[in-house]
Amino acid sequence: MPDEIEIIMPDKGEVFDIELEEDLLEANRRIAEENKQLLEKHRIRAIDVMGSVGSGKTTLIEKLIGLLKDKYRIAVFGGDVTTTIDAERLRRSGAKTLQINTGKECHLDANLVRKALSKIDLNDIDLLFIENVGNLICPAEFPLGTDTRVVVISVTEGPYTPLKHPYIFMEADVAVINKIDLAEAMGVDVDELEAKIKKVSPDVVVVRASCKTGEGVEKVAKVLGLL
Amino acid sequence: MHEFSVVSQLVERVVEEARKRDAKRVIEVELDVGQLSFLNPEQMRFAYEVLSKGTILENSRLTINTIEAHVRCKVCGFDGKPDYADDASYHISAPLFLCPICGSPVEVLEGKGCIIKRVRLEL
Repeated sequence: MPDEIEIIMPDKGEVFDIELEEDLLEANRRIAEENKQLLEKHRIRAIDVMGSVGSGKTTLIEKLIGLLKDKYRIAVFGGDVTTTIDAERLRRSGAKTLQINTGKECHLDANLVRKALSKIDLNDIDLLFIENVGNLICPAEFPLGTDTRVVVISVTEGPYTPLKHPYIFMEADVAVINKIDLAEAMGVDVDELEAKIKKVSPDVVVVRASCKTGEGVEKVAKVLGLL
Repeated sequence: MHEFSVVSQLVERVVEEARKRDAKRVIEVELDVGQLSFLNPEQMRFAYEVLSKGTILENSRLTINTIEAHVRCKVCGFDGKPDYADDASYHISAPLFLCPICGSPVEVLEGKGCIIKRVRLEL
């Protein structure tokens, strides 16, 4: 028996393969899970609001704040590529607001949210809205650690949004069909639009609203378990 | 749309691995990209070329394997490929996350990841 264990090592100049099996998207999921635990620990309800540019995300959040500000201490993280236009609007509606500018990225990620969470006093709030960057593609792939995800679409986007972007509806718990007051002018059948959402994501709860007039906003709050 | 940030993470991770093993250069990086991820291989290659410049990955080969979607039905137990909504009005045929047999929602088992499978180094 040899008294030393032989170790096989590659020589200099030799080719060497490393099997890594590492998921690059996993890092975000891990941080999202940490965010979730942190929010749960502080008993904060957190809602990720996703949707296209101009679908009505900011208006929905504004109206929800108006409805809920006496019941909850509310904070909003506004995600945008640049500018603070939305954050300014939301601040005026009476919530603590923090702007997250992604710079070049098309979505918020869990790490940016973790940074934002470290900038506010978590004992001071019990409801957090996170307005994602206006985009229907990337946010679906990057969970942030919220307990609920809402997607806002508007009839002005036409009738095909759910079929073209099924993933975001699959990731969402609630889908708001916004601007229903314009459906007729747009020639969009809201029943059909709802059926398309249900087709790609049968479990999602659909609420019809006109955030501008306020119609349906209370229903959104109820569905989210906030009223 | 987020190819650049994912590839920049990839380059960082491979540089770390190559350094750990005192490699002379990286020959090849093999990636498994799920069909259901939003990562476009063409854009990933472009980002790889740009981001690997000046690093130990420069001039290495990026191999991208597309991993087909694999779903399972929560109700009837169907196990296989999802159905696709074929409609001429879309650019892509979107996968339907409904069971092709019984129509119930399915869970995705494979096809969402972006996995570094293998890194080939010259030592």
